[in-house]
Amino acid sequence: MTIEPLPVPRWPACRDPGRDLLVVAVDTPDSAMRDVARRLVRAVLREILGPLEFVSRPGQAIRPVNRESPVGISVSHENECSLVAVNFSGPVGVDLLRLPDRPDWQAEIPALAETYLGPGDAREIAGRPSHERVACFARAWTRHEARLKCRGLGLEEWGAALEELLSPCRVRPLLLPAGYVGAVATLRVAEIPAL
Amino acid sequence: MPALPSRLCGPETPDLIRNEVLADLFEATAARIPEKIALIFAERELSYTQLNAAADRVASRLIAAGVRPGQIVGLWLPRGIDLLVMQLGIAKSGAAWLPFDADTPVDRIKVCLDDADGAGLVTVADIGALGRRCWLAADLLAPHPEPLLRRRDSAPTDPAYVIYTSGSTGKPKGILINQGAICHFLRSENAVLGIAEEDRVYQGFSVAFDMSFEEIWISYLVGATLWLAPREVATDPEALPAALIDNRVSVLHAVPTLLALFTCDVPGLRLINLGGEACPQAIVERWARPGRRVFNTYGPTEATVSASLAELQPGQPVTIGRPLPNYGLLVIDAAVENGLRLLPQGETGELCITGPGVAAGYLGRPDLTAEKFLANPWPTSGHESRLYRTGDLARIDEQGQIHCLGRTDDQVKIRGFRVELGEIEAALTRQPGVGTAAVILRQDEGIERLVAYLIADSGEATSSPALRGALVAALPPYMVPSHFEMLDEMPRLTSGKIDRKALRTRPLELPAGAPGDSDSPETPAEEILFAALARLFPGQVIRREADFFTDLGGHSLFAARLASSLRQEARFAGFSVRDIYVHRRIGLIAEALGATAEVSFDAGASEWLPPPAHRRWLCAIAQAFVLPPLVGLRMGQWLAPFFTYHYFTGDPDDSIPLAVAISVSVFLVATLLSFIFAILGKWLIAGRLKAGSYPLWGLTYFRWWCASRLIEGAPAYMLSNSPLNIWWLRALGARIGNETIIGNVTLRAHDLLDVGNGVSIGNAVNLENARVERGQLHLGPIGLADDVCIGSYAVLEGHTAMDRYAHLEAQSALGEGLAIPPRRIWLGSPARDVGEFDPASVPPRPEVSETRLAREGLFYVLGMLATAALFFMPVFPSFMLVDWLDNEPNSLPFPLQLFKYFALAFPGTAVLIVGTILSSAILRWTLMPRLQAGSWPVHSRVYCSRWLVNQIQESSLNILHGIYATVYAPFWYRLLGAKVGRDAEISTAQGLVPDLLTLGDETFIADAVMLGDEEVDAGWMTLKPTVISRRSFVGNGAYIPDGTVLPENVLIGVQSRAPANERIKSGDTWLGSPPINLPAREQTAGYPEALTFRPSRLRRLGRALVEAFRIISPHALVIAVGYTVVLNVMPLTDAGRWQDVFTLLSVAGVLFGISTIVFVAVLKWLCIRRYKKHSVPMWTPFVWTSEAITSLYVGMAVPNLMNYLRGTPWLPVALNLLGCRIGRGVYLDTTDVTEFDCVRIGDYSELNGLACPQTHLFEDRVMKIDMVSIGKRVYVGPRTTVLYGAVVGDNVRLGPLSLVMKGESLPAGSRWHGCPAAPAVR
Repeated sequence: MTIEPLPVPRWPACRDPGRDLLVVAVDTPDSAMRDVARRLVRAVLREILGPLEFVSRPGQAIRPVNRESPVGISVSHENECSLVAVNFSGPVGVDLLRLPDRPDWQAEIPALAETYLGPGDAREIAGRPSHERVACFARAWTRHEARLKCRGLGLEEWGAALEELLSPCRVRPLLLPAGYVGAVATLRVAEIPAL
Repeated sequence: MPALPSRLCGPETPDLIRNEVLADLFEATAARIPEKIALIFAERELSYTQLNAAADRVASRLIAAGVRPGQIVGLWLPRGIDLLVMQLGIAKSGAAWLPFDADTPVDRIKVCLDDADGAGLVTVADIGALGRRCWLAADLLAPHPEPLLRRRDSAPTDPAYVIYTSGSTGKPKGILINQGAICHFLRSENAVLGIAEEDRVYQGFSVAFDMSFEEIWISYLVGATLWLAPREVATDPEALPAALIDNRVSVLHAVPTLLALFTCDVPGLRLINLGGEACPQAIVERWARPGRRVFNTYGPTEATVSASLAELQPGQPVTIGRPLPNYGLLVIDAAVENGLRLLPQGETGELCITGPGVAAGYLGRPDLTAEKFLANPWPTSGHESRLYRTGDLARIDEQGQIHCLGRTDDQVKIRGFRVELGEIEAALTRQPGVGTAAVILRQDEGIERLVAYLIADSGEATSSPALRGALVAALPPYMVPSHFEMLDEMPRLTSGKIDRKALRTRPLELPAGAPGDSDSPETPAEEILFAALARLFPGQVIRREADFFTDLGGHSLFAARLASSLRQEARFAGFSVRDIYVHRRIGLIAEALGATAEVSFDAGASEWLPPPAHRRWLCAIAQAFVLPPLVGLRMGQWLAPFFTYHYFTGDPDDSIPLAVAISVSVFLVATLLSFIFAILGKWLIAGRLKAGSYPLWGLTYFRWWCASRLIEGAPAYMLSNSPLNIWWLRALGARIGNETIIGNVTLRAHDLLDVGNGVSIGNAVNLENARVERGQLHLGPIGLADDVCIGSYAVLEGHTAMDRYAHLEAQSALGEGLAIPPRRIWLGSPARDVGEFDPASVPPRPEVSETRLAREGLFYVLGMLATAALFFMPVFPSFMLVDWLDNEPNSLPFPLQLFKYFALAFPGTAVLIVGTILSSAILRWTLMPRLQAGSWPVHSRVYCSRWLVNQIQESSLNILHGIYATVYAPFWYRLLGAKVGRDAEISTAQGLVPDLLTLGDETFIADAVMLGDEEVDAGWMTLKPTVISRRSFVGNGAYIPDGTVLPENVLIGVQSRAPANERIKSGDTWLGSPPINLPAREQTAGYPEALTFRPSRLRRLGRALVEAFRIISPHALVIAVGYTVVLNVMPLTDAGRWQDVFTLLSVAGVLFGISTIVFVAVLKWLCIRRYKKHSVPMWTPFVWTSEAITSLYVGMAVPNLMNYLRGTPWLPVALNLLGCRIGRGVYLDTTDVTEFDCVRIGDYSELNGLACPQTHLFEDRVMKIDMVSIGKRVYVGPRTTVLYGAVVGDNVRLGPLSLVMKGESLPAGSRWHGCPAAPAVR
C-alpha cells in the first residue's frame, strides 16, 4: 500500500478547518545558523496558533505552555526552508532533509541505516541501485525522525523496544520542492487519548 | 489635493506643565496617602511615610555635605529598596542624579562623573580610584537628629537627572533632563496610560535606563505600589511571570524582548507598556486581550523618556502611535545640510521631536548639541521652540500613525540601552592585535546580540577571551559583543564604508574564536572524538565547551554519524547516540566516551571449535541405550498399577475393592521408587559433580545428562514448598540449611547448590547452574547465605552468590559471576540493585518446637501420599467402564485392538476426567478451609492448608492439563473457588491461589503465567487478593505479583513483570522486567468481534468439541495402549514368565513414547500441513486445531519422550520430523516449540534450559504466527525467549531471561541480555 504524499503549502497558508493537521513550509535564509529561521517559525506559529501560548527553547521541542493541551507542534529546519507542523488533535513529528548533491557520507549509509533505522529499512535501502540509495535513505531517515519526534523521543540506536514505541505512529511522506525530503508522523486515530 | 505635511501634535494640555520638581510630586503623594505601601522588595515593605522619612534623612545629609540644586550626584547601588531611597534622597536635596547600572565598570563611572563634573557618588563602598567624594548608603540612612535640612530654591529649570548614552566617537555623552521636563512627561504620559493608586507596578528596569521613570515616578505621582524583583528573578523569563502572578502585579513596563521570553501569561496584568526597542507584531497577538491594554511607547532619552505612544490592537500593525500631550512629531528630510524640509505625509524621513521634553543638549558637547538640537522652524506654541533630531527613520501613515523604520546611523538599541556601535569598535581597535573592527547587531533566538568582526593587525596575536576581558573592563556589559570573529578581509562598499549588510548575512562561525582556536585533545577519548568532529565539521573550531547542536550546528543525522564513527573503535563500541544528546557539550561527550564500558564484540565468538561429530554421535548412541530404561521407568509407574488391577480382576469372583487397593499401593510404591531410583542413579552414575567446564557430548556431560533425566523422572512437584523438598534436594547432593522453604524449582547441578538457614526460594525458580556454551558444559556453584529470599520465576546461573538477607525479586535474572551483597534487593533482567532490605521490616520468625516439626513432617508425607492416591482413584471407574463395554477381549489382531480400545477409552476417559474434577471439587468445598488474605508463619495451619490446596491443584492437573486454554478452563477455576468472568481465556497459569483470584470478563491469561502466587520470606507466608480486570491481557511467561490489581484493558507483555498497582492505569501497556510503560500499543484491527470477543453459538460449540477431543485423547491413547499391552502380556503371567513380562512392559513403554511423537506428527501434517506466517482470529477452526496439536505435543509427546531427549542429538531430529529446520550439532535443552515449521536454528547453536523460540502470540485475541530465525553458533541463555519475526544473527550471545522482541534483528557477533534484550555491556 502506498501512502499519498501530503502536499506542503508555502507560508502564508490557510488551515483547512476540516483537517487537524497542518504542515507548512517557511522560507528561511540559506544559512546553517538557525536563529533567523527560528524567529520566523515562531512568528508563523503565533499566527497559526492564535491565543495558544507555546514554549520554545533551544534544544527542546516546541510545545504548548499548557501541557494538557492536545495541540502538537513540530518544527524542522534546513537551509532555506523550515517545516512547521501543527496537529490540533494530538502529537505530531515532522522532519526535513535537504538532499546533498554529492554526500561525502554515502559510504556510511548501510551502517547508519542498520544502526538507527533498523533491519527493515536497511534491507530496503541496500536493495536499491546505488544512485537511488541517498534519496531512499533520506526518505527512511525523515520517516524515522518524524516518528521519533511524534513520540517525543530523541534519536537512539534502533531496537525492537524502540520500534514498539514508534509502531503507533502513522507516517506520511511530504510533497516538497525538489531537493528536499520530508515526512510527518501522527498517532493513529485509535491511539489518541480521549479529550 | 496637496499632501498634508508630516507633522503631528499631541493634545495641547497646558495644565500638565506646572511649576514643580520631582520631589514635589512625591511629597504631595506622601502627604495625601501616608500609609499606602510605596515599595515592596522581598520581605521588606515601605509606606510612603517611611520612604519619605528615609529619603529626608539622605537629603539632609547630602545638603549638609554641600549638595545643592543644579549639582549632579552619581548613583551606583545594587537593585533594591536602598537604591530607590537614595534616588529619592538626591531628588529631595534638589540635586540631579547620574545613575549607573550595577554592572558598570569603575572606569566608566569615572569617565562619566568627570564629564558631568559630579559632586560625588552615592554608593555602598568607598571607591578611592574615583578621586571624588563617596557617600555610603548606610551612613546616609543612619538615624538623624532633628532638625532635618531641606532643599531650597529648587526650580523646574534645575537638572533632574543625567543619563549617559554611548557616543559614536567612543566617548559617552551625557543627556541632562531638567525637573520641569520630567515632571511634565510623567503627567503627560499618565494622562494616556492611566496608572492609578490601586495599581501594583513592577519595577524591573535599571535606574540607568530612563524607562525606569515610567515605573518608579509615575507610581510616585499617583501613589501606586512598586514591587521590586530580586535580580535573579528579574532576569529569569520563567521565574518572573510566576513572581508577577504571585505578587498580583497589574502594570508591567518592559522591553518586548523580555516579554517575548515569558513562558506563560500573567493574567493579572491590566496594562503592559512596551518600549525601548521595536515591538514585534507577535507580541501583540500573544498578549493583547479584553481587559488588558497594551501600549507601545517611543522616545529618545533626549526628549525625556517617551514622546509618542500607541495603543496596540491585535491584527493591526504595530506603530509608535501619536505624540503624547504637548509633544510634537515631525518627519523631515534627513539631508539637513540643505536646510530643514518638512516631508509630505507618507514619505519616509528623519523623525524629529518638539515639546517641553526636549533636553537642553549634551553635557559639555556644544558641537554635538548643535547638530542634533535645532531651532524649530514650525513652532505652534512657546514650548516648541526647539526640535530634536532622533536619527530614526519614520513615516506618518494615512491614519496619522507613526511607523518607525530603523536608524539613520549606526546607533542600535540593545536590551533597552542605546549603543553607538562606533564606541565599541573604537574600544576594540584600541586593543593590541586588532586592526579594523566592525560591530553589528544580530538576531539570535529572538534575542539581539552584538557580534564583532575583526581584522588582525599584522604581527600581533590576539584571542577572543583576551578581547572580551579588555572590553568588560572598559564598557558596560551590554556593550560587550557576545561573539568575536576574525576575518581575513573586511567586506566594504564602493564608498569604502564597511558593508554591514554583508556582515549581517554572513553565517556566523561558532563558537567564538578564530580558526586554530580549537582545543587540543588531552585524552585518548578526546583524540578520537576531536578527529571524528573534524571530519564531520571540516574547518570548524572544536572546543570543549561548544555545544554539539547549537554551536557546531549538529543535528540528528550528524549525531548519528558521529556515534557510528566512534563505535568503529572497538573500545567505544558501547557508545550511544544518546550520550551525545544527554551531554551536548564536546568536553562532556568526550568524558562519556572515555567512560563508555567496552561492549565486547567478542572475537572469540566465531573462533571456538564445535565438538567433533564423532563425539556427538558416540554420545548420542550412549544416550540411545539409556533412553529405553529411562522411558520405561516412567511407563512402569503407570503400567504397573494398570497391570496389577487387571491381574486381580477379570475373574467373576475377584474382589474389585481389593484389586483397587493393591493397584493403588503399587502406584504409591512405584512413585516412591521413582524417587529412590533417581537418588541411587544420580550417585551411581554422576557421583559428586564439581564446578568446571567439560566438553559437550563428553563423558562428564553424559553422566550429568543421565543423572538429570533420572532426577526429572521423579514427580518432585509433589514435594515443593514442604520439608520433603529439602530432604529430596539434600539426598541429591545439595547442602541446605534449616528452616528453608523451596518451591517447585529447576536445579541443574544439585551438588553445587549451597543454601543457608532460613532461606526462601519461590515457585518456578530456575537454578541454572549447568549450561552449555561454546561446546562446553559449564557447571557452577550457587551460594545462598542465611535468610536470602528469591522471588518466583527468578533465574540464577552458576557462579552466583547472595549474601545474608539479600533479595532477588521475582522475574529477575542473576547472571554468571554476579553476587548480591548483604541486605540488598536486586530486581530485573539483568538484575540491578534497587534498594536496601531491612530485616526489621518483617516480623520475627516464630519459634517452632521439634515436635511440631515432626508432626508437620508426618502431615506432609501423608498429605502427599493421600493426594497422589486420591487422584489415582478416578482411573478405576474408567477401567470398569471399559471392561464393561469390552465384551470380547483379545479376539482381534494387535493394531485393531489398539483402535478398539482407543474408541472404548473415550467414554472411559470422560469418566476419568469428570471423576477427577468431582473429587477435587468435593475436596475443595468440604475439607479445605477458604484461604484469606493475610500473613501467616510457615509453621501454621494456614500454610499447611495452602500447601494441600496446591497439591490438589497440581495432582488434578496431572490428569486435567489438557483443560488449559480451553473453553472449559474458566469452569474448572470457578470450581476451585476463583472468581472468573465471562469469556475469560486461561492458559497454563501457575501458582494461583483460587480463593484470592478474580479474573474479569474477557481477560486473557497466556501460557506459563505466574499469577499471584503466595510470597514467602523470613518464615512468613503472605497471601493477597489478585485481580485481573476486564479485557486485560497477561502475556506468555509474565509474572503477576500477589496482590496485583490490574485495571481494565491493561497489557502485560511477554515475560514481563506487572508493576506496582499505583503505577498502572487502565489501558496501559507494560513490558519487561523491570517493566516499562509503553505509552501506546499496536492495535490489531480488521477482525470482526464475532471472531475475537463475541463468537456465535456454533463457533463456541465447534471449539468446545475440538477441545474436548484434545483433553480426552491423550488419556484415551494411554488407556488404549495400556489395555492392549496388558491383555497381550497377561497370558505370560499365567505361565510364570515374569522376566518376559517386565521386558515386554519396558519395550511397550518405549514404543509408546515413540508413538506419541508419531501421533502428534501425523496429526500435525494431516491437519495443518506446514505452519507459515499467519494472522488468524481466535474463534476459527485453524486456531483450535493448532492449539490442540500444541496441547497434545505438550501433554503427550513432551512428558513421555521429548523431555528425555533434551540434551541429546536426537531432539533436533525429532523436532525436524515435526517440521522444524534445525541444523547440525545443535544443543537443545528445551522442548518449548509450538509452530514447528516456523523455527529455524543454524548449526552448532546452543539453546539452554527453557529457552523458547516463541513463534506465535495472541494479541487482542488474534493469533499471529511468524518465523523465528536463529543463526549459527548462537548461544541462548536459560529462560530466554525469542519472539516471532526476530532474526538472530550468527555467533550472537543471548543472556539469561532475555526477551528478543518481535521483528528484532540482532547483528552477527553481538551480545545481548535483558528483558527486553539490550546490547550487553561488560
